[in-house]
This record gives sequence, structure tokens and C-alpha cells, in this order.
Amino acid sequence: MSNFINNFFPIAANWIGTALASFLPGWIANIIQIVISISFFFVFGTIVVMSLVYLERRIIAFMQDRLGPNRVGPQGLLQPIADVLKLFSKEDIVPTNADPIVFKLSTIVMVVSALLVYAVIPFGPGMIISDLNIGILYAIAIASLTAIGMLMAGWGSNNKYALLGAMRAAAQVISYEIPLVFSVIGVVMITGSLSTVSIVHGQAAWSGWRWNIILQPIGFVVYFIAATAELNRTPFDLMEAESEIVAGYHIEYSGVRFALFFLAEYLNAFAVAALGATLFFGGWLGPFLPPYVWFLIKTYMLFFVFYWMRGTLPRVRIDQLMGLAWKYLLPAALANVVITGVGIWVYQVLIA
Amino acid sequence: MIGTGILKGMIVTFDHMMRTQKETVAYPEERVYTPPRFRGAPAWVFAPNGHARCVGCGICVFACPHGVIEMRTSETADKVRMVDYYSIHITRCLFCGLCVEACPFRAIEMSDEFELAGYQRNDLTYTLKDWLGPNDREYHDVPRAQVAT
Amino acid sequence: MSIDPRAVVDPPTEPLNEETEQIVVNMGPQHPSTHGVFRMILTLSGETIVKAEIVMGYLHRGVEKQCEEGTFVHNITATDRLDYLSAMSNNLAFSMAAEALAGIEVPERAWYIRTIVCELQRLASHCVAIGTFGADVGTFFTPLSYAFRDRERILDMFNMICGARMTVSYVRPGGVALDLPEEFIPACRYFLDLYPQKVDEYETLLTKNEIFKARSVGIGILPPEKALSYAVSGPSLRASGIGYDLRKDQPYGIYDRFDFEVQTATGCDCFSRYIVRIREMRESAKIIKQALDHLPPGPHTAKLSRNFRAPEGEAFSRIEAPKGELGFYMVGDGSIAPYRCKIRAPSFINLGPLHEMLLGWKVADAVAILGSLDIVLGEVDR
Repeated sequence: MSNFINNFFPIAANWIGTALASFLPGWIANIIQIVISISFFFVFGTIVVMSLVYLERRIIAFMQDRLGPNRVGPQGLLQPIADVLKLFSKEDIVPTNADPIVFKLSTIVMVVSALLVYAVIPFGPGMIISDLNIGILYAIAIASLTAIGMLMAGWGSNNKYALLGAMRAAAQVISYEIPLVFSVIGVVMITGSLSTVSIVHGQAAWSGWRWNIILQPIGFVVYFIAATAELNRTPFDLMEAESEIVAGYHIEYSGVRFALFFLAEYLNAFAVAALGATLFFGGWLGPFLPPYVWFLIKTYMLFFVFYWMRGTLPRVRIDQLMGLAWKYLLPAALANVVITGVGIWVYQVLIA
Repeated sequence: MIGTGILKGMIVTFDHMMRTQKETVAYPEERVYTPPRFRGAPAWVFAPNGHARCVGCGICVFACPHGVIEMRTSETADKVRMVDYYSIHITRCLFCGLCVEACPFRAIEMSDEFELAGYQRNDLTYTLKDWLGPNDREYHDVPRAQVAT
Repeated sequence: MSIDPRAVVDPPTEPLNEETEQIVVNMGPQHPSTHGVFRMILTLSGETIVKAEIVMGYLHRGVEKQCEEGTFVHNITATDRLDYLSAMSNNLAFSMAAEALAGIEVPERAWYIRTIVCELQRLASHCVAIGTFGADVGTFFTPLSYAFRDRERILDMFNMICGARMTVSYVRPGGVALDLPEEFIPACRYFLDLYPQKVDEYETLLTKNEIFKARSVGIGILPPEKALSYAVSGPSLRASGIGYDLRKDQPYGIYDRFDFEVQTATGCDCFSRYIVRIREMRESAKIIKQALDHLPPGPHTAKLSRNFRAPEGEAFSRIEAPKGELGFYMVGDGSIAPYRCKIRAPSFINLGPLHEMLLGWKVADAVAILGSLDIVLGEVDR
């Protein structure tokens, strides 16, 4: 029984696969099975994003001694649906002198690059769309496509402030990718493999409790700060909130397109938090509860820290942001790699 | 150590998050408390016998900083002044209470009405028929008041 | 690291680079961070401000002209709306000018009540200043919510006293309009007991935060000579090291009976202006406690007719309003209305050095510098 609950999703996927294979030739059944699992992830991602939006408003409101949205539905749970309906009902404006292809394509680029990362996130044993053996490299490479999406949005808007904002945002994203990558290298060195499933399995030692956060605390701190900057979240949210003059790159977008930007931002955030949980907190490892529940708990806990920081901290300025990336995070990440290398050598020579 | 200030601030917000009592007043269900001296919309005062206390002296009209009160009176046959028309433009009223302070007969008071929205501008000129008396009668013309207490 | 204000000669400016063209950016009248309808036209070279031009006047309502048309009591309601965040102080300055003009003697109890109420108003105004400064710097309204929650307590007390929260019309020529109700003094004492830990909470969230300090320390330097030459007053002046406070240097009313200190800071930057306000909040709480302890019985206003006549002559009154030195210059001509009423608004004068303070800083600092000066547009434009 507990085996059934723990492996519910792989069992269901297999059942659908065999049901389809019984009346269709093998390769069509395979394709349909893959399409179903991908669309399941897409629907799951959308629901998760709606829950994250709701939780953000509620939790930050609680921190400010007030109630958040609590009118629409019980405890306000249907608020994101109301937001989505409102956004869908708005007029779709394309600026006159804007480049329509670039303008419209940028939203798609952002959403697609956020969704592609979900291919390598292990939600549980056997619950991964494709277990690439270069999983982490793929994830980080795809996540850097958001910079292109932002630049396209800024350029296609035909608005000098949008362009300036987009260039700032792209500079921020590109600068913080380097500490992000270096913080992951420490984990990869310990595990010896780039595949996300192997990384989770590598943390199963010490009866499932050798999480990488114990071995790589500096790496986790660098990853977390770099991830916050990659996602344009407070305290690095110059793009969204510092729109006094140089407004963000999505200023000219309204209605569904803006909803897509929003969706892309939160999908990206969830993917990065999920990767953080996989790399440093043991993925789906944990006692008693089904593995996917543990995975979601860990990811939501990381998200809670994002919300907590948003409710408390002021914003850094653009030059302080760049200074932090290049002068502090990068040396810390490099030092972490050196220490990890020395530690692994010591372990191999003295202990093993 | 760098970062301790940030962490202390975050502990404060976490502590606030865990408290159960919030500052929000859930407005239509819970009412905001209005103290006795609260200055809401001006309203006429009616004596216990149901008559209005106003004698039509016009001091409130002069006391108002912006001339928001309009009043028209006439004399009856036995030389008694009657108030024909009395109105206050709520859209222009400052809710300062100077008319209340000026009235020698305590015939006008600041009620605790603050939900004063209306759909048309004409609705927002309060005339006598907007001030219903203690028996819910409508007052079209108001006889001279019994001024005692 | 403290900055010696006399060593700062000129703010850093980049040499004009021929490749980066300068763009003119308008922080327009409708803006969430300009504390009202206020316009700054900034010329940027890259991210650095090269030239700043200030346009104000969007909220001009002709208050001084209105004061010529109404009686003294009518004008009290107009002065409420000048610096709408500190209405009691505006009323007090006007009343003092009218009393000086007409030679009215104010009873003791009225002065004590005026002091209590004005210091409470100072607390409320500084709550807004700190909260909005935090919001300008980027904290997502959390210090603002906490500061406004405490301001709500103060406004509830004002509601209890006179029936209105912001546009109070309470301090009148001759005294105060109504006596304090009985429930005010226990409520005020309860509030003052809780107050120091609330200020500690604001300090924990803001003062010790490294990111906040990085955004405000060393930003927007106002050297003391420049501050004096522009006649800046209030917390902005005291943050440049000059300990000039009208409550101590030219005490009005009964301020000479209270024991408090003038708070200064030597940094001349945004952080110093913020920290002076925090310290002033603690000092004001002390003053209120002393005033409550020594509140005498007696009449709350002088015997005065509502439409008293002011003899011919002129009078000038100045008080230490939360924003700075607020002055009323009144000319009487024997009628029930003043002939001329000129208002020396502290926020307007404090904006004088702004176009120089902005030079050389980044765009994000422009909002922080403006927020630290703490202006209210009702006063700037009158």
C-alpha cells in the first residue's frame, strides 16, 4: 500500500502506457505517453504558480500585520483565478512602432525556457521526464535563455526606458550566472556526475541524510544569493519595483502577454528552487511521507525564504549589485571549489 | 559579522507573521469604532417632542468656512420664523464642526455617518428630507422649535 | 566610516563622455515615490545624474489668499491642510501669530495640552517619514506598515480628543477648542509605555540592516555651510551637525520647562537624517510623559469671542514643526480677518539645496535623497 502511494505517478504512467500500447502500435503509444506526461507537468506547473502567487501575497501580508486576500473563495484561495481572469480580459496592445515579431516572440521565449528546465527536475524516484546524464549543465544552460527573452522584450517595445531596463536586467542575469555555476560545481565534484538523479542518490548515504548542505554550506549560500538575483527577486528586484524612471522590460505588455511574463517568472523561480532542493537538500529523500511530498515541502520551504526576504529587505542599487556578484560571490564560489577539491583529496587519501 | 543586521530584521518579520491578531478591520462585517466626539456628517437635532431645534437664525451659515450651508426662511402670519429650505453640500463640507460650535441652540450636531457615497451629485446635497426625525417622519416644513433643553 | 562634512567639496561627477549621450528623464508629477505631485527633470549620463531641475506648484490652492477672506477661526481649517501630516503644528503656529497680533493670553492648561498634542503629532509625522523612506529605499512596505500601525494609535487618540484624525482644527487662537476627555490620559500613558519597543522594532528592521545602510550612508551629502546658506531647518539641518532646535534656542510656550535633548548627527547623509528622526521620536515621547505628569487643572481656552478683531499691526510666530521651522507672518487691519498671512513653509525651503544634492548620484539615489528630506507637497505649494 505504501509502495503504491510512494510510486503513484510512475505506476499511473505505466498503466496509461500499457493501456495505450494495447490498441496502438508501440511508437505511437510512446509518443502519446510522453505528450501526456509533458502536459501533466505543464498543468502542474501552472497550478503551482497560482499557489505561489497566492502564498506570496498572504505570507507577506501576514508579515506586515494585515490579512492578505481573503475574500475570493474560502480564505482567498481562488484569488489567483480572479487575477488570471482579469488579465485575460484586458486589451492586447502592440505598440505601433514596435517590432511585432520580436515583441510577441519574447514572451514565448521566456515561458519556453522556463518550462524546459522542468525536464530534468526529479520529483521522485522514476518521476523525471528525462534523466539526462548532463542534467545540471542542461538546466543552467536553458535557464540562461531568459536573458535573451528579456532583451527581446526590451528591444521589441520600442521604448528607450524598456530597453534600458532590459539591458540592466540582462546584465544582472548574466553576471549572476557565473557564481551560480561555480556553486553547483562543488556539488558535482562530490557526486561525480552531472545527472540530477545521481545527485539525489548521492545524498542517500548516512541512511538518507547526507544532504549536500552539510558538506557545502558556502556553496548553498552562494547558490541562494545568485538564484535570488537570477530570478529578479528582492533584494535584487531592480527590474520590477524600481520602476521610477527606467521601467522594467515588460512595461509595454498588457493582458495575456503580461500574464505569460508573470507565469514565466514564477515557473523559473520554482524550477530554480526545485534545483536548489535537489542539489542541496536531498531532493525527494525523507522518512514516512511519499517522496514527491517531501520534494514539494523542501521547494516550498526555499520559496518561503524568498518571500521572507521580500518582506524584510530593501533593494540594492545597480552598482552595488554588480559589485556583489563580481567581488564577493565569485571569489567565495571559487574558494568553495578549492576547498571542496582539497576535501575530496583528503577523504580519498586518508579515509578511503 | 556581515549579515547579522539582515537576520535580525528577518526575525522581526517572522515574529510578526506568527502573531494571530492582525491590524486589519474586516470592513463590511466589522465596524470601525467612532468615538463620541467624532465629526461625521452634520445633522439636525430634534427635541424630545419631535420638533427640530433650529430657529433659522443663520449663524451656522456665516460660521461655515466655505459657505456650504444654504438656508431660506420666511415668516408666518404670527411673526414666527419658519425654515423653508435648509441644505448642506456634503461634497464641499469640510466636516470641521464650526457650524456646530457656532449654533447657540444646539440645533445641529455632527453625526457619526461617514459612509456618504452616492450615485448622483444631487444625492449629495443633504436637505431636510434626508434628516429623518426620531419617529421616522419626513420634514418638509419645520415649525419653530421648543428651545428648552 | 564617518564622513567629515567639511572634507566633502564636490560630489563625484563623471567627465562628460562623448560616447554616452545624455538623456533627459522626467520623474513626473504622478509618481509613487515623490511624496505627492512633484516633478524632477533629471539629465542622466549613463546612470549618473548630471543636472536636476525641480518643478513644483502642482498642489497650489491659494491658501494664503483664502486666509485673507476668512475669519481667524475659518483660517484654522485652512491651516490644517497645509502640512496635512502635522495639522496640530500648523494650527499652533497660526494661533501663536494671531495671539501675538491680538494680545491674547493663553492659560497654562491650554499650553500643556498644546504641547502634548504637538509632540504626539511629531511622532505621527516622523512615523510617516521613516516608513516612506523605507518604502523608497525598497523594503516592501513592511516598515511602513509597522510605522503606520503606530500612527493609527496616535490618530485614534486625536479622534478621541476632537473628532477628526488628520484635519483636526483643534488648536485655536486663545487655547484649544475642547478640553481633553477623561479616557485620553490613560490611553496616552498606555501608548507611551509601549512606544519605546516599537521604535526598537523600526531600528531593528532598518538601522542595522546592511543593505539599508549601503543605500543611505554617504548618499546625498548636505554640508553644513550649504545647509545654513539655504536656510534649511529641522531634522535635515540637525543631521548636518548643527544643533539648532527652536524648542531649545527660542523656546515658545512652555518648552523651557521640559527636559529633553536636541538630537544631531554628523554624517550629513540620508542615513543621518533618518537617524535624527528616530532619536527625535524617543525624545518626544519623553516630553509627552513629562507634560502628562504635570498637567494642571484650569480653563482650556481664553475668554474670546469667535470673531475677534485683530488690531492693526503685524506679528510673526515660528515653531519647530516636524518638518522644520514653520513661521506665520500675519498683518492685521482691525477687522475680523487678517489682512495678510504669509507662511514660511519648511518643506519648501528645505527643497532649496535639492538640485545640488542630487548631482553625481545614481538614479536610485534620487528617490532616496528626496525621501530623506521628508517634504509634504501641501506645504511646498500651499
